[in-house]
Amino acid sequence: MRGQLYQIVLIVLGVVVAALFGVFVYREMFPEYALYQDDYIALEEFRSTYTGEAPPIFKKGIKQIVLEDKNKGPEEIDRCISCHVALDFQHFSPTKIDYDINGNMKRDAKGYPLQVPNEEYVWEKLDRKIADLQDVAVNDRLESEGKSSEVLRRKSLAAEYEKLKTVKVGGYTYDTSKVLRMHPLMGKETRPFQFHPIEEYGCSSCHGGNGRGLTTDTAHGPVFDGMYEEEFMGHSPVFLEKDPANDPLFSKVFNHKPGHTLLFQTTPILIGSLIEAKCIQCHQPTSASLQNAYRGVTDPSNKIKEQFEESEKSYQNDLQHLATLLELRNSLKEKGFFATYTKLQQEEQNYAIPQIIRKKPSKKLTGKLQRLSEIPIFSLILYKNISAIICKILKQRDISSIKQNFSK
Amino acid sequence: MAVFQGNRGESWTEYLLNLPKLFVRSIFRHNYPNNDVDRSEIIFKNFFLHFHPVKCHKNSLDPFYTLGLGAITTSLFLLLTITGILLMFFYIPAEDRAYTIMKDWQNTTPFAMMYRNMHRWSAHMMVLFVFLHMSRVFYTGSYKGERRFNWVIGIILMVLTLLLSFTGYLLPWDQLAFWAITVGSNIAGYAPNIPGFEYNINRVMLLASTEVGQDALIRFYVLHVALLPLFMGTLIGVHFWRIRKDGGLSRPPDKLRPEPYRVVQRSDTKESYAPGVKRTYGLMELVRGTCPTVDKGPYNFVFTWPHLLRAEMVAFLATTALILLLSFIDAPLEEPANASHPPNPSKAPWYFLGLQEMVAYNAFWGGIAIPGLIVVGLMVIPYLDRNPQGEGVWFHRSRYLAIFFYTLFMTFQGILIIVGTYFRGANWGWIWPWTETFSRH
Repeated sequence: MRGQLYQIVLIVLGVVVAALFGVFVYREMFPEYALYQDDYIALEEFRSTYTGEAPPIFKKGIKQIVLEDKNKGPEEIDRCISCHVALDFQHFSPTKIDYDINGNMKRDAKGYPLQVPNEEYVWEKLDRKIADLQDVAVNDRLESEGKSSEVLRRKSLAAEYEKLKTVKVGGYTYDTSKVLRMHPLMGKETRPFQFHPIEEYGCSSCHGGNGRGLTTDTAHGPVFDGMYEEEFMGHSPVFLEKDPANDPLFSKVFNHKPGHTLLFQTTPILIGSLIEAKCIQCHQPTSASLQNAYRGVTDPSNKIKEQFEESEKSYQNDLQHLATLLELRNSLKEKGFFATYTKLQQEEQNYAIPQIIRKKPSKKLTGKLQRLSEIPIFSLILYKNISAIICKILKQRDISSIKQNFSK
Repeated sequence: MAVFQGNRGESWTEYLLNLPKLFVRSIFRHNYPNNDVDRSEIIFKNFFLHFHPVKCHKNSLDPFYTLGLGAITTSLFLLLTITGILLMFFYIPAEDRAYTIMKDWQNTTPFAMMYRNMHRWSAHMMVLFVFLHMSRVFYTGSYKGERRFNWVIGIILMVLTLLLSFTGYLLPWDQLAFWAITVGSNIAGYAPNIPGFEYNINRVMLLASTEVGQDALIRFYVLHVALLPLFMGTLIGVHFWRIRKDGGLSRPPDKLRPEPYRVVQRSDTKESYAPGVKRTYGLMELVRGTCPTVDKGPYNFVFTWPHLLRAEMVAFLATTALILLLSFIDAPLEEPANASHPPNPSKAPWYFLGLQEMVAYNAFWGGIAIPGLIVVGLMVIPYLDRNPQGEGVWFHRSRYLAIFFYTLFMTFQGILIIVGTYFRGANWGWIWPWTETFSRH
């Protein structure tokens, strides 16, 4: 009995494990980038129907730009071109450079090439073709002529072309015309990547994002509203006023962390107003480079000035200290140790005198003497000899030579 | 008078006709096991099956006795070994490459994410199932008598499982890995230092440096893929070998004892048992002849092929199915490791959060002394427990005190882990999981 049950369970489990493994195999076989590549191939085939040219040879699969590190470190890898396969094809650009009748490029006053709408734009051609195929008048005429199979064919073809415009991945619908598009021309470029070869610069060096990613999730991060599923609700700033319609985004997602369903972004992709943020890291405006040059000259001279001021200040300090010591010597000579000591002590406790005078260096000296005098043996020696010792020390120093040193 | 002429020489055609059979026989030294002799032989002669006994007790097959926990743990170890070796082909234990490789696994390397997810969840499950298996062994009193030292080996295997999980945690080299290992190695640093050493010797021995870096990564990698699995595999072998030598899994004494001088037949299953037949460790059953013991085995024993092997296959496939299901959840991968950006709180892997919770009260006692005492305490259980009763019975009545204390201890550890996981926030302060400040780590 139990043996049979085991046998049945064994068979069921075998089927379950095989099925689960099958799901993983399916995932490997149909990755996201393949959907865009299929669309691209279909578009090229569609284009060949009206140009009469054979569609270009395209090998499906992961495509990547590997930027070797000079110091043999890990290479930078950008796999963006696995999905964005049409980055340098003119017929995927909505605009094109305008030429005059002699075949010369039209440029504006600054020398930038002028652009006009591109009549070769594949997506527009596709739209027109779909509109043609769905034309009610034509279809009605064909119907009345009894060519209903032809009408059906036209409609199915239109539906097929319509499908190319979107790709559905994980419950989201992506606009393929944004994925399959030529890179816009920058500055004086006349063809994409003219001055910034893509093999040399890659993609993520300018755009940010995770170049290794092969899905929209991992490469771009959140691209739809509500995709940014925040999970860690950190401390949010509290504002006096709240205006849900106009408050900036950061006031809502200040410390929030992306949920774990969203795989982590190493570097965020730069979009919207930040799309040109990386340009300035290499291309500095003239004013900035001028400022740098100016700083390069003024900085050393400022430094020398600071050094001079510093030495001037320390010279003044030393002079002041010397004067205090001289005063102390005179006082010791004339009034004796105890009188000087008591006078200084009184001064120290007299808070009417400004602090600078109370905290004179000579005060430190008396403080030390007092501490020493609290030790009985030292006090005996000190009380006898202290005034004599101090006078001797001060006499030994040639004051004029000190002064000369300072002035140097 | 007929004289034996010797065997007739084999002709070439005969040899060639027999060759396929000869070739198969040279690989498999037994027939297909559809009779008792071949069922015995397949276990005896097959290298991969030979650690099984030819026959095993019916009690071992009872799914409600073992719950298959040991088999599931072994299955997890096998899955971990297979997926781990496959992942090793793609992994480089270098500070600047490990994380990018994780990213590549997410995107390009075929099936790598499946293997990684399987490996990750199997590791977590293995820690869980090791504890469940240990509890089963305790509650059925299976560590008594001859099996005392096997329990000690089991405890060592448990510690090795934890160490393997811990060393593997660093390898993705993301924030989660980096800071979990920093916390873990700091706990190791609470052990008393050798006087005269500037840095705590235990921590330095673990990390090969004063902080988590390239040296720690290569050390953890070698521990994870070579040294610890080697110990683990050897000790698992010893663990099984001892079970085998102790006469199979623990079980209560048979209720029905065949009379020693009479062949008995059970009325329900029509199985008959020979008088006085005991377990042997050789192929010593009599299967031909006319004496009463012919074709009779010991009471209540059944052939390993197919009964035990089928049960084991069920456990393995059930485990694989569970792990494949879990693998639809992607293993976490946070930002790349950044030594200057510690998350608050930094948490160790979940099975060490009980430890971290105790460390929060007292570093030395919580991190070193109590865990050490727990491991030693678990090891000496079979030598402290003098109650001879209850072997092979779930929750035997005479063991109520032992069961009470074990349950209390395990519950307490569980509560500590739950508190550490869900109720601790920034600066290890108390938080309620449903409040706004709760963070997932």
